[in-house]
Amino acid sequence: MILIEREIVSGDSYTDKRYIETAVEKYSKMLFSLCLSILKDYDDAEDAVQDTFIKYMTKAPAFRDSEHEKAWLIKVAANICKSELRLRKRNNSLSLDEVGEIGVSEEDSGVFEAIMSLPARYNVVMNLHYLEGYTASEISEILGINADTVRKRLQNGRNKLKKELEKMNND
Amino acid sequence: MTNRETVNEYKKVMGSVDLSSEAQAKIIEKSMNAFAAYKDNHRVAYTALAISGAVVVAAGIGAVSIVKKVIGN
Repeated sequence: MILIEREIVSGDSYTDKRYIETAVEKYSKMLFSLCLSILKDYDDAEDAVQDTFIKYMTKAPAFRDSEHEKAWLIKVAANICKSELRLRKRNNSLSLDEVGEIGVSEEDSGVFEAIMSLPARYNVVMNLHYLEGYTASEISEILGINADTVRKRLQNGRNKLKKELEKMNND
Repeated sequence: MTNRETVNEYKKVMGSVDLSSEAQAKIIEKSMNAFAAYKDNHRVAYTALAISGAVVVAAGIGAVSIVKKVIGN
């Protein structure tokens, strides 16, 4: 009984509409980019971000600071995406219409497609390192993988993308 | 192409990926609705637990009085 009561009370601090609006404004872009790089599908990425915020409102612990909050959201979003990947086996290609919807310019759409062609395991660490500025050891803690694995994936992801872009420029 | 150029391309493109304001509004609305449903479900569970707890306590009191009668105290 105490547990349920505490869940309701702790959840209440996240129920204010302005609170969730602020959180969505602050983190949705970052989470969407992360989820899209894993799922490679606009609608699925949007759903994953939504599920992340639902978990945020119902299950979030008391955060020490905004970095703790951000890391928690990343971890939850990555886990939701992993579950989704386990559930589906389908074509991961993105149409150019979807690229337009996402806001990537036509000029950059080739680069975007090259990025999306990378396996999710590379995109996740590249996203967190190059866009969010996390170090390999921080990514290792957030995703629960070895720091050396993170470094290796960064290196491999970068090399694979380089090859894709060079191939694209030569075509 | 250098590593730096590759990374810059990555940052430029993935940094421009964003959710539309309509999608954000939808997420806020759905999150609020889902939370309201979650809270209602937990209230029901909480009430059910409280009732079952009261029944157990009442049954316990009943059992104690029966035992008292049996042992004649």
